[in-house]
Parts: sequence; structure tokens; C-alpha cells
Amino acid sequence: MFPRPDQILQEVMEFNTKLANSFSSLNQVGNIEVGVTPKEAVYEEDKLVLYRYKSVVDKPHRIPLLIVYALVNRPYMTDLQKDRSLVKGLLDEGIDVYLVDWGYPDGADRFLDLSDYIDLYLHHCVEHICKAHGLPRINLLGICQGGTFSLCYSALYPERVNNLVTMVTPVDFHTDDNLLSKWARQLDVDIMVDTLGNIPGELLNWSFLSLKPFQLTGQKYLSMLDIMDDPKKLRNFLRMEQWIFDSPDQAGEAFREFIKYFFQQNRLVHDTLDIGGRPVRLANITMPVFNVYATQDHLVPPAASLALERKVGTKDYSTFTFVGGHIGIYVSGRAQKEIPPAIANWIKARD
Amino acid sequence: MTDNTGTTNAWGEAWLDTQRKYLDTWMNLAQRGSEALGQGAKRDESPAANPFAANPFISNPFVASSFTANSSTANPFAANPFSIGIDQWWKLLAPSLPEEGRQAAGRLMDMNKGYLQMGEQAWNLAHLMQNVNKAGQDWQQNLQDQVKTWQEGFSCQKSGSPGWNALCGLPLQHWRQLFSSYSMMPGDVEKSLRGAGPLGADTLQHAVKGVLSTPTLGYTREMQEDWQEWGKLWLEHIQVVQKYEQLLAGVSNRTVDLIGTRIMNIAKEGKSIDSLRQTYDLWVDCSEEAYTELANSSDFISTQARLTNTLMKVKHTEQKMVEQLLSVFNLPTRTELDTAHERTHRLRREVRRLRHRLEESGIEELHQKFDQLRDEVRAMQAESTTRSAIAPTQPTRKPATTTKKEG
Repeated sequence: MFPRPDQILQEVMEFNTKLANSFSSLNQVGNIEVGVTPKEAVYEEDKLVLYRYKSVVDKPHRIPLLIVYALVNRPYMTDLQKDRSLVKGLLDEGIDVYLVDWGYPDGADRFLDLSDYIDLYLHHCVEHICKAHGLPRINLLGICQGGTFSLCYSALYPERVNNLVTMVTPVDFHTDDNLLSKWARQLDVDIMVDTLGNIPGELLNWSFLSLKPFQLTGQKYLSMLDIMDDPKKLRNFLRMEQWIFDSPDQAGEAFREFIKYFFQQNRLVHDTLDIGGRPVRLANITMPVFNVYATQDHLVPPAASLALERKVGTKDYSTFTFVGGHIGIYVSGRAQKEIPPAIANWIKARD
Repeated sequence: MTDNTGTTNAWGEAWLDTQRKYLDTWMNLAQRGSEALGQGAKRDESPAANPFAANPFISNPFVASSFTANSSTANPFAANPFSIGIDQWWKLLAPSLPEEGRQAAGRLMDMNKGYLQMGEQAWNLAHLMQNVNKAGQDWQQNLQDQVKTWQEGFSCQKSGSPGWNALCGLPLQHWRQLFSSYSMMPGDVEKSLRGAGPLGADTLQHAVKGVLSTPTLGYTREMQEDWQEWGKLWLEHIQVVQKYEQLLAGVSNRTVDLIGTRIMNIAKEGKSIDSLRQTYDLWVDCSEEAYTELANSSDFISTQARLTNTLMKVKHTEQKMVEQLLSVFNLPTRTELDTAHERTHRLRREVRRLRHRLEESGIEELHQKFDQLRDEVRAMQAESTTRSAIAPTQPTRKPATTTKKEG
């Protein structure tokens, strides 16, 4: 029932040889490129850049889609590589795609708060697209924390949002299975921000990796050895690795508000959230909503996303279930086949 | 009882032989890497490239690099010679690797040492399992006994190996790296305080606390108070780190229990564990299960939060002290910079708000309408002037008059 000692010794030797040989693969790996689909910067404000992706069809869908990604990682996750790209999938479906890149905040940005991100930056992006296309409203796709931002925006500016898609988006931050939220509730976020100013990305990474430390900081690297002799797989691995550790610092005041209002006080579902002095009520979201969630998401558990249904004011609410995790929903082979068509078809059926 | 001494010795020698070969493989590679460096690859002249030169990471093993944080340099006396050899090899090779692959390679190296240690544990278990196979009828009880024997020898805390800790101490190890980044005090100072006194583990801490409570005197009284405050906060944080470590040690123990149970279940189901890798995966599954149990407990949640909160208090006090020093040299401080940033930010926000109000009030539209009307009037005036200039001059004719004679 257990390998013989000599088998174990043999395996250790094989492992060792494989590892030693693998370093030549790492030596030859070259530059790791991310964000591959051609795009053009169409609007800039402070460190924010709004990109428009080059359409691949002659006549793209009439109403464009703006992707709003989280602040905590870089948005190129949606366009990691040619065969793992949500953006490319949507373009192939004929959608006209825009993306907000929030940039890397520095010390001068520490007083940016949620109102700056939602009432100014995001609103200005939407206004820009509306003006460019001569449209009163556009479609929004919010991902993770960007999904929460999109919900806030849609509640504050419902006249600007035609259809809303949320993807792995936390809504109810106090579900029983939300370990990250449990950890955040007793944090003294005031002293954190008052001390550090902007919150270092590596501190957030530590929190994320600590959710599954043995898998994410150990087992993963042993599995890496299995793909060392396959340059393509190795590059894929390193690309993902680059994304995981490419964590921008968080603007201090926005972080303070996000932790307090969402993680600690759960204001979005309690209808007590104000941004920029205006109430944010999910009941104001009356446009169609498509909620995409992942069944094995350890960062945003399904229950945290599915709480949206009972809070939004729309009668046109539907969900899409992806069997996988928080990362797999962007980059797995199955996600490429399932997610873009599902979003595009849902949008096209409503425009 | 069967005498297995001869077999044990043979296996022991085989294990040592494997480790020797293991090290030899790396040393051969190091030699090749060294030759490659000499033959054309750009030689890195930095101190880190030379493992025997002064290396700042070695002098403070918890600073900066996850690779060296786990290395034998952190505690060279606890490490086995194979780990030390591999560390030296890595220091030689690392500078020659391209940046893209260096970090991943470093993490791989961390895990490599742990995996070797895992091999040793699995080997111990495998050896015990050989006895079970010989046992015959009462194999289940025998298996349980062997697993128990193995469990007793399997303790992350007891092993003390940096490689093994790379597997067992991951959350704490990451915290120590962060701690070093955010504090004046390197993470290993906390370790040196532990159990240092002759009267028990907390003796030194009590002594330090006593010193920190001494009344302050004289011209530098305020500065002394700041240092005392900082010292107390730092001690508080160290105590939380120790509590955190105790809790995580529970994960190791629970993991061992879970592995034992899983092995028994696998045996009962007639299944088998066929490789070291499967053993490792089993260990990871059990560790995650044990860790998740702990991570959801109120004790852990509270300790984890205090870990950050107490560190931030330490850091906050440090900043205050640094700012006092900066003021002495008439240099700008972080607080002053923050004030400037905040004022700029408020000003920008106010400008945006006023612009928004202007837009909402319709004044902009009125301005536009006014400009439009003004342009129209100007155009009309221009047109009128042009017409006047173009039209030919004609004699003024008197209006025709009719005379009506009255009859």
C-alpha cells in the first residue's frame, strides 16, 4: 500500500535530476509578454488609461462594453495571452470592447477615495465612450472588486448603463464561507492607512496566499517541475506567476473605505452605503443584470455573489455558473469556450 | 521480534547515498554554470554572485528575499550539509539566470529542499510499512502502530530544518518577510528573544518590560519615553507573533493526525499510495484541511488581525520618531507631504465639483447659446456691410407725385 523505500529513493533521484535539468529551460525562457490583443489608449486621466481594443469584425455590436477590473491586480488578466483572453473572446463574438486600467497609485494618490474612483474616473470613462459613440448609455462588465464598483456605479448612474454584467463579484461580504472577510473584520484599517499611506500590494498578496498557503506557495511550484520541459506550458506558468505578483499598491483612502464599508460593515447589502455623499442602493439597478460566478471560488464564494439577486431592482436578472475557481474563470481552456459566448449572447439578446 | 538491524542499516546507507548523489548532481551543475559564466555569459560582479563575498542577505537572513529567507544561512547550524551545498550552488547559479525565470527558480529551490526532507519522512514511513507487510493477520493494528511511531517522529517543530520549514512554516515565514520590510527591527530578533532567560521562556521579555517601565529623566525625557513606548509596542507584537506561531504549530500536529487517519482509510479501502509525490500531495491536502479548520477559528482570526494591528502600531511609532529626527535637520516629513497631498487633492476635488455645478446649472449651455447668437449677429452685420458695399450707387429718385386737380 505504500511505495518501497527504494522506490522513494529512486523518485527523489529522478526529481533531483529533473530539477537540475530544468534550469536550462528557465535560462532560455526569454521575455514573458502579457496583454497581447492590439489596443489603443483613447482617454487618460491622472494614472488611469482607458483602452479600446481593435475590433476583429467589420461591424461590431452597436453598444460597446466597458470592462472594469479590480484595483488589487492588473487588468491584463483579461487578456493574458492569445489563447487565454476574455477580451479576445468577446471581440471574436463581435463586441466592441473597452477596458479601464487604473494604473499604479503612488504616494501622491493616497487620498483618492471610492468617490474618486467611481464618480470621477469611472464616470468619465463612461461619458467618454457615450460621447464617442453618440449613445446615452453603454454596457458594463465588472470583474471581482471591479464588479462591486460597477454595481455602485450602476446604482448611482442607472441612466448610463444599458446592461450590467458582473463576474466573480462580491456583494454580500458576510457569508459564512468568506474567510478573507472574516480576517478583515478585526483589522484596524485606520492605523494601517494612517501608518502606511498606500497599502502595499505585497501585503494584500500575503493575505490572498495565506488563504491556501500550502497549495499556493508550495505545491504549485512542485507542479511547475512537471511542465519544465514544455516551453509553452512553462511560459504560461510564468505569465500567470507574473500576474499574481504584479500587485499595485492600494490608494490609502479608497482601501480604508473599501475595507470598512464592504468587508467590515457590509453596507452594500444593508442599504447603508454612501459614496460621494450620495446613497448607493442596489434597488436602483433596474437595467438587465447577468451575474457570472465560479463554484469553487475561494476569494469570492458563490454565496457572496448570488446575494445580488435579492437586492437588485431589475426584473431581468440571470446567472451563469462556471465550474471552477476565481482564476480559472479567466484563463482555463473551458472558460475561453464558455464565458465570452455566454456574455455576448446575453448582451445581444437585449440590445 | 524480527531483527531488522541489517536491513535498516542497508536502507540507511542507501538513503545517505541518495543524498550524496543529490548533492553531486547540483555540484556538477554548479560547475557547468560556473564554466558557462567564465566562457561568455556576462559575469555578475555583485556580492550576491559570489557566495563567499559579503552578502547583505546573509547578515540579515529575513530581509528581502524569500529564497535566502529559507536557506541554511538563516540558521547554518540547524541545516544539514546537503542543504548548505545546494544553497551555495544556488548563489552561484542565480545571477546567471534571466530575470524572468529567476524568481520562479528561487521558489522552486525553496521547495526542493523541503521535498528532499519530505522524501526522508516518506522513507521512514516506507521503512515502517515494510514491517507491516511482514506482519500477516493483525496487519491493521500493526499498521496503526507503525503510523503512530512515524507520527511521533514527524514534527515540524522538532525537525528544525530550513528545508522542512519551507513546507511547514509557510504562513509564518511569509509574515516574517513582511515584518522585516515594515519595521526597523529584523524578524530574527524576535526568535533570539525566545526562551533566552534562565527562568523560562518569558524571562527576557519580562526583563525588557521592566527596563521599558523605568521613569524617564532629564533633557531627553520625551525621547526616552518615545523609545520606551516603541519598545513596549514591539514586545506586544512579538508576543502576538509567538501566539500565531503556536497556533500554526497546531496545524502541523493536526496534519500528522489527519495523514495517519487517511493512511489507515486508504489501507482499509484496499487502495495504495504509489509514490513520494502522492505522499506529498496527501500531506498538502491534510495541511490545507488542518489550516482551514484553524483559519476559521475565532482565536486565529483575532490573532491574525492583531498580528497586523500590533505591527502597524510599531511602525506608526517608528515614523513619529523618524519625523522628529527629520525635523531636527529641517527636512520635510511624511506628515507634511501628506498634508500637501491632501490639500491638493481637496482643491482638485473642489474644482471638479464646481465644474460639475456649472455644467448642471446650464451656465455653460447659456454661454454657448450666447456665443452662438453673438456669432450670428456678427455674421448678419458682416453680411449687411458687404451688401452695402456691393450694391451700385443710384440717383435718388424723388417719389412720383401725382397732382390731382380738383375740378
